[in-house]
Amino acid sequence: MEEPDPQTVMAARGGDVRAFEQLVRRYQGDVWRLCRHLVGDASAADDATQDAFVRAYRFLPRYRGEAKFSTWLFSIARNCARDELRRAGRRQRVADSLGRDRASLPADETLGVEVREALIALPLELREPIVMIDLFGTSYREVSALLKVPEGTIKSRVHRGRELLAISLAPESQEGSGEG
Amino acid sequence: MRADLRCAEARIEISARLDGEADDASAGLLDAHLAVCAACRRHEDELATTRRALRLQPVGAVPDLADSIMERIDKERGRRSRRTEWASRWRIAGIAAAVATLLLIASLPEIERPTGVARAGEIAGEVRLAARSLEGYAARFEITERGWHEDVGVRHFSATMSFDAPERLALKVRDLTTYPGPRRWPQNDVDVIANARRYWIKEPSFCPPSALPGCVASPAQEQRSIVHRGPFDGTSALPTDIVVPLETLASTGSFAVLGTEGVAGRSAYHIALPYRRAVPLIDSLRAGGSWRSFHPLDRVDIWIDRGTWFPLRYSVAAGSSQDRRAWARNEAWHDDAAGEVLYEVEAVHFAERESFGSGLFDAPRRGIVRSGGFSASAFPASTSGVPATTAGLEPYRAGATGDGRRVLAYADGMTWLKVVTERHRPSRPSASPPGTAEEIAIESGNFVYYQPATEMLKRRIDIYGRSSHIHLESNLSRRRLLAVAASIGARGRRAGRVERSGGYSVRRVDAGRSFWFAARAEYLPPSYGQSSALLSRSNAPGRTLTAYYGAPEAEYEGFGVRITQSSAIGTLAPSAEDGLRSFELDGVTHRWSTERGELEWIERVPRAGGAERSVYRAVAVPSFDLTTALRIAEGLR
Repeated sequence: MEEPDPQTVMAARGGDVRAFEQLVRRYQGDVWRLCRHLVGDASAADDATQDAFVRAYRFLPRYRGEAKFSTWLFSIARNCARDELRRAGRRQRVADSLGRDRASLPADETLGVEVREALIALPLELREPIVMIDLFGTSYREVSALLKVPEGTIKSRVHRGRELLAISLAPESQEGSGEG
Repeated sequence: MRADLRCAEARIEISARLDGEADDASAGLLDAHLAVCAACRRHEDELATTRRALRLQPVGAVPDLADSIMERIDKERGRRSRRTEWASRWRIAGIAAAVATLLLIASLPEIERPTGVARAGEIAGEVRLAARSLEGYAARFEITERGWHEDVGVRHFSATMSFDAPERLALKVRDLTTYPGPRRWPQNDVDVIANARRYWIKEPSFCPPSALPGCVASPAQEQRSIVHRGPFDGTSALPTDIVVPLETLASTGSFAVLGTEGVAGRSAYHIALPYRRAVPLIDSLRAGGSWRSFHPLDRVDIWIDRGTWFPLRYSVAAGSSQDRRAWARNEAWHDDAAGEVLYEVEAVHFAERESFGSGLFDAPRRGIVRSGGFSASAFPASTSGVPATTAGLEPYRAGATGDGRRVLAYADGMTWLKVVTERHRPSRPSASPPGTAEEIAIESGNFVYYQPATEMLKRRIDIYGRSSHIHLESNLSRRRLLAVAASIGARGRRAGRVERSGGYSVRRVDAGRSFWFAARAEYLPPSYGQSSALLSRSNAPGRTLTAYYGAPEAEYEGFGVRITQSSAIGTLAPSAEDGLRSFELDGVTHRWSTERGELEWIERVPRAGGAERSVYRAVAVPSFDLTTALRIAEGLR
C-alpha cells in the first residue's frame, strides 16, 4: 500500500485538521475494507472505521514513525474491529435472547459472497493475517509487527487459514476425497 | 511419522512461497520434496486456487465516511471550530506553508475517492440528467408476484406504459394469472390515464362481489376521475420512477453499486438497496389494484441500463430477521421464505419516443368525479414571490387553486417545480411548520422549513413571510431546491412556539446545543442527520425532548429515526401492545416494541452532589430493526 506524504503526517500530528482529513480521505477505503473483512458486516465496518480514525487522531501525537503509517493505522483499525466484534456479539446475544437471527439486508453482498462467508467463518487469529496479506498485499514482516506475533507464526497461520478456506470453498464432490 | 512431518513443513513453505516469502535456505529441499510427493503438489494447487479466489475478491461499494469522521473529530477537539484551528496554524506556519497546503488540497486527484462512492454519485448524476432530457417513452413489462394469497402462489401480469413528459401518462396492467377454481377471483387489471388537466384510474373494487359475498351492490371494477387537476398534484402523483428512477436513486448514500452486468443484451449497473428506499420504483406499476406488501428492509435489486438509465429489471426479496417474521405473521404473508424473490419486473421492450397516437392520453371522466379546483391563467408579470432562478426549469403552467392560492409550475423533461403562494393579513398568519420539518437559515434572519420526499409528495420548502406563505414542492435535489427558495427574495420568519394549549406547550429547539445526547447520536444510518427537535412541557413537573433524524432527500415508510428523552416519566408504563419484549442490558431493563419499532428504557443519570435521577429514553426506528435501535442506543450512553 502507498504511504502518505510525510509532510501531511507531520502536519496532522501537529494538529492540522485539514491534513488529517486528507489522511482520512486517502485511507478510509482501505481501513473500511479491512474492517469489513474482519467484522463481516458492512454497517459494523462503518462504525469500526469511524472509531479507528477518531482513535488515530487521538494517538497521532504519539506516532514517531517507527512503523509505516499504513501499518500503524491498520493496527488501530484492527483493534477497533475487535472491539466492534465484541459489541456486535453482545448485540447478537440480546437479539438471540429475543429469538431473532441476523439482521436482514446487508445491501452490498452478492458478489463473492461465498468467499466472504468462508473468510468470516475462520477464527479471528487466522482471518487477520489472511486478510492483510491476501487482500492488502502486506508483507509477513509488517503483519508480524502489526499483530505482535513472530513471523514464523504468521507463516503457519496463513497456511492453516488457506487450508481451511480451501476446504470450505471446495465443491461438495471433493469432500472426503482425502489424501490419495 | 517423519514423512508426515516433512509434508507439514513443506506445506507451510509452499504457502509462503506463493507470497514470495519462502525461506531461501529451504527452497532446494522444497523442490526436491515436491518432485516426489503428489499429495503436496495437489495441495499447492489448492492453496494457489484459494489464494487467487481471495485476491480476486471484488471491492464492492465502499461508503464515504469522511464527513462523519471529521464531524466526530470536531467534537473530539472540544468543539473548537475548524476555522480557529486554521487561524492558529496560519500564525505558526506562516503564509507560504498555508498556501502550499491549499495548493496540495486543490490538486488532490479525484481517483483518491473510493470507487464505489464515485460510481454511486456518478449514477445519481446521470439519472438526474436523463430525467431532464427525456421527452417521451414507451415500454412493456412482465411482472411476477409471489405470496399474494396462499391458494394462488404465483401471479403473472403484463404492463404497458407510455409517458410524454412532463405530465401525460398511460399505464395498463393486465392480470394473466390462472386462478384456481371454482372460486371467482377478482381480476387485478388496472388502467391509469393522466394529462395536465385530468386523471383517471380504473381498478378492481375494494369490495369485489366475486371475493366477498357481502359486496353484492358494488361493481367488480371501480373508476375515479380528477378534473381541473392542478399541476403535479400529489393526490394523483404519476408513477414516473419506472421511466427513470429519479426519486429512488436521489441520494447516493442510499444504494450500493454491485457492478456491471449484462441484462437482455444490454450493459446494466446492478444496484441494491432496501425496499424502504426503493418505494417509488417498486410501487410504480402497483399504482392501483390489489398487491402484496413488503417489509421496509426487504432487499431490492435493480439493473439499470447504462445508456438510457431506464430500469431493465428489478426484484424484491424477503428479508430474514425476526422482526420481519413478526411483520409477515401480522400481514398474513405466511409463506415468505428468507431470500425468496417475491416480486420481479422485467422490461421486455422499451423505446424513447417523441410522438404518440392521438387520444392515448385522453383521460375519461367516469366513475367518482372529484375536482382539483385548479383554474389556469398566464404567468404573472410581477416578480414578487417568483423565484429568480428555477434551476434551469422552464415555465410550464400557472393558475390558481379553488381557495385562491397562486400556483406557478416549471418543468424540464421529468423534472418539475411548483411554487404555491398564499397571501394573508400580517395579523393573521395562516400556518406554522410541521414539527418534523428541518429549520434552515438561508441567510441571517431568513428561515425556511424543509421536508424530504414521501410516498406522495416530493421535497418541500415552506417560507412563512409577514403577509404570505410560500410553499415549494419539487423533484429537484434538496440543494437545488434550497437555491431556488433563496432566489425568491421573500424573508421567512422563524417559527416560535409550535403549539400552546391547555397548559401544554411544544417549542422548537436547537437540540444539538442544549442536549448533549441528541448531538451525540453517532450511530445513525448513513447520511442521516438531525432534522428537528421539539421540547414539550406540561403543568406537571419535567419536560420531554423529541429529536427527529432523517435522510436528506427522501423518507418513505415513516419518519426515519426519533429519539425521546423525558424527565416527566420515571417508569416504563405497562402496555397492552402485542409483540412487546423486555430484556436486560447493563443491568437496565429495556423494552422493544416490534409494532412501533421503538426501544425504551429508564436511565439513572447522576446529578451534581452524588444523587441520581430517572430519565426515560427511547429510540424509535419504524423502518429499521432492533439491531439499528440498539446501535443508536449504545451511542447515547
